[in-house]
Amino acid sequence: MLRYVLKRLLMMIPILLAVAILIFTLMNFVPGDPARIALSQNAVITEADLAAKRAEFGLDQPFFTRLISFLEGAFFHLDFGVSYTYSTPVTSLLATRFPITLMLAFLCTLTMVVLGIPAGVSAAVHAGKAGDRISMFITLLFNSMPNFWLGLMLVLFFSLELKLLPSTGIGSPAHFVLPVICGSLSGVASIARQTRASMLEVIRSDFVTTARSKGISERKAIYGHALPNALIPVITVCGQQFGHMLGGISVIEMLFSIPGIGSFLITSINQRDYPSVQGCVIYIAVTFSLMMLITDLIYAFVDPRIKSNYFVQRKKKEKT
Amino acid sequence: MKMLTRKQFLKGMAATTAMGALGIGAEVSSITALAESDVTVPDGKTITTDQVANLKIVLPQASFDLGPFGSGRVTAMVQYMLYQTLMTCPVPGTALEDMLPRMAKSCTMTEDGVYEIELYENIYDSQGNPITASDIVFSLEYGQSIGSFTCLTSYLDSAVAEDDTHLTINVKNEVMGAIEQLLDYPHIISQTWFEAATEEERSNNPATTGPYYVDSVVSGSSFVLKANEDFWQAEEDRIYVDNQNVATMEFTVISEMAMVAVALENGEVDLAEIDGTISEYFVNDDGTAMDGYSLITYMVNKFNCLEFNCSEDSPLNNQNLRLAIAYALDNEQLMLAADVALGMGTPCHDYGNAAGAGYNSAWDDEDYYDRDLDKAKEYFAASGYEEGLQLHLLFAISTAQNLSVAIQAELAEIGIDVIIDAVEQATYESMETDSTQWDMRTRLSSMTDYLTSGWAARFDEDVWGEDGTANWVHDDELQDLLHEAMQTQTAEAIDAFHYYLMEKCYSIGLYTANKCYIGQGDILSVGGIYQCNPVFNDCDFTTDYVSCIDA
Repeated sequence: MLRYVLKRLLMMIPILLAVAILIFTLMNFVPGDPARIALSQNAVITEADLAAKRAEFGLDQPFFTRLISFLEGAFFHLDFGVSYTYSTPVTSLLATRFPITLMLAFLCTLTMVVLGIPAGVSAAVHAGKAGDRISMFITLLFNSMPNFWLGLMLVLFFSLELKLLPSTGIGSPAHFVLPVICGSLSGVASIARQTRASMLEVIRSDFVTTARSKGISERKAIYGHALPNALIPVITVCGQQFGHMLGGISVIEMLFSIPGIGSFLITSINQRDYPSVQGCVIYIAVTFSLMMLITDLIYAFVDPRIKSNYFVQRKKKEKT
Repeated sequence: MKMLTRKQFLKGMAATTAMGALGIGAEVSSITALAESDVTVPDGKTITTDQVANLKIVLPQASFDLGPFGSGRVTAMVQYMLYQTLMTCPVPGTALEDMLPRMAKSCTMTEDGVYEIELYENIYDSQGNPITASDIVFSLEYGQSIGSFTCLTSYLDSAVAEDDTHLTINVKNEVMGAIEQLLDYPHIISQTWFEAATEEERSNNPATTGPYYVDSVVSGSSFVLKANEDFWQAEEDRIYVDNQNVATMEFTVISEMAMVAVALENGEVDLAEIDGTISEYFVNDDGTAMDGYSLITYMVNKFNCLEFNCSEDSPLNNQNLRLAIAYALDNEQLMLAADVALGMGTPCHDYGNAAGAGYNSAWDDEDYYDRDLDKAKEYFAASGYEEGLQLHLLFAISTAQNLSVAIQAELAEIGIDVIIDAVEQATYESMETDSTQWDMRTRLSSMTDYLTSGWAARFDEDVWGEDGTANWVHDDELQDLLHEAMQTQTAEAIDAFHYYLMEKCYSIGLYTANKCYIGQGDILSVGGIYQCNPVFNDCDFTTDYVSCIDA
């Protein structure tokens, strides 16, 4: 297992290198001058101002010099440079925002799992009946609602009308309620539908029939025997969703003015803040890769067949 | 040095309103037509003279840098509270002898381009670092080296510290307003602190020289400023921008205007800048504030304009075609289309507005391309182009999109087919310097202090070099008139340029969108105006005021 993990971690290095080179190159050739944007509040922007600002940002140096310097800083020192917008090291900015995004992503994923899996199981168990149709209709509804619109509706109702919850910002657990609802509803739908599909395959399997014939309760047959076997695709979906969210739920963060990675990335792109964009993209690549690794490890934990399959293959290799 | 009281200051301002309690929008059109009264207090209320505990203000953007050389819209809103300058202009176009002292007691011209400055004694920052003349020199030279202030790169030749409280500034380009800008714009900091501080400390925990210091920062979300109880300047020597009417100011980011409306209605914030998209929830049709709110509006030194590509790459190097377009547009309707309600904006009568010193209010009563379709069609016919002519309009999507659609609709009436090229701001800025990419562009132009500064920024060949002007105009007479107006600032010279520009129609002003703030009803004013930003630390409150933080 440890070798597998190390192998996957080593494979991340060339991926991250490619991502770093690609994003650095793209940002440098995208239209827009960071120096001009930084000076945009000035009534008059002279060429001397622009030259001085470009020198301050290091943009007066050749492309390859800057690329080498960036790669060296990022891979050997975890230093993505200083943000043009905030004049603060990008690492520090990411470190400030990461806990907020992590909290939001965790709560959204937890909500999706807690609501989505039971909904899917229930739909599968009552397949073809009214309960199944109603729950699938509701999940389709949630899936169809745009996040931005849903967020505004939630704010209008819970915040403006009922005055139960704050509308924007962070600072207390109450601030996370509306963003989590908004960010998780479509995920609930996806997980419910995936769970239903997986359960329908498994629920008619021989081993489930055997379990029932042995006299165990229906509940234990479903949740104890069928569900673990149906979880692999669901874990994949959950892992992907969580990985994406760790990169920042931009729409939710912009709407609710949450200072997470997503809103940071959007602001940085608009400001042509090269170090910040580069730092964010590499961070997203790292977190997504790690998330996929963790998902694969969870497979082995949930399904012993996957774990034993790995050991069998390893023994075969050792014999040859 | 003459000290202006707030009443005198309001009288001298280019555009403001202190009538927030009555919710009357500003319709100021000249430097002399101003609100002479002090803040108007509603019946049954009393204005407080005590310092209030808290004020929560909305920030429109998440990007801010609280360091002395930070840039950006949000940063500009608060920097004057954190960092003092040497002196300040209470109104645009203030001459040296009328400037208000901050760190500098006086500034005297000893010979052409040479100014001697005397500082107050015992100046120190929020972390106890003394500020001497050598720190002033450092602040100016460092700001110049990184291009943070245009006045430093344009006007500062050198600065020399004579002793701790005296320095000499040598100006290299003695134009009207040069020394005034050098005294009013660059922020002063301690060299010792700046060189020892990390980048993060400079932005998030700076040693401030102004009346406030940074208590806490949540990057991209909020920050808190507190009144510095150990501020070096005695109360009797402070001017309005150094007041401490509020003990603690919390600034919170809400980037979506719809959410700003919700926050105001919910009482989650005390004060927020709004635009026309949500004004209907707070402003009555007659321009007064709805019950429970205060409306504060004032003109700013920015205005929306339409620039024509006068290069050989565009049909708009044809004067008749440009005039046809100008007379086909209705500035007031364009302003309304851009969600700027009447009372919250002013149609332009010049390439500039009354916030710039030198503006002639008589222009407001004269024709400024007043919409005349017959005339427009005549000019169009005279241009030699036929109906169906296609022109590209470059437009930044960060601005009101309906403006471009309204221009398209109005020009369709004379047979011009406008293709709207809506791009994001950074792309816009790279495209606008390419004469093959657009025929017309909408733009938010600005002035510093003088009206002519806005003209110079776009039409001075000394700025644009061989391109001629920002929109590729090569016109020697335009240059002569511009330089005459810039150098002399006489009404005749300014009028001459104004009418010549109108005749040639190289660019046209469209409208000015006033800054509009909505506050809870017990906030009577946002104090004075400093470089087109409200002076939050000079706000007026009633005795009933309770911040949403304390509610």
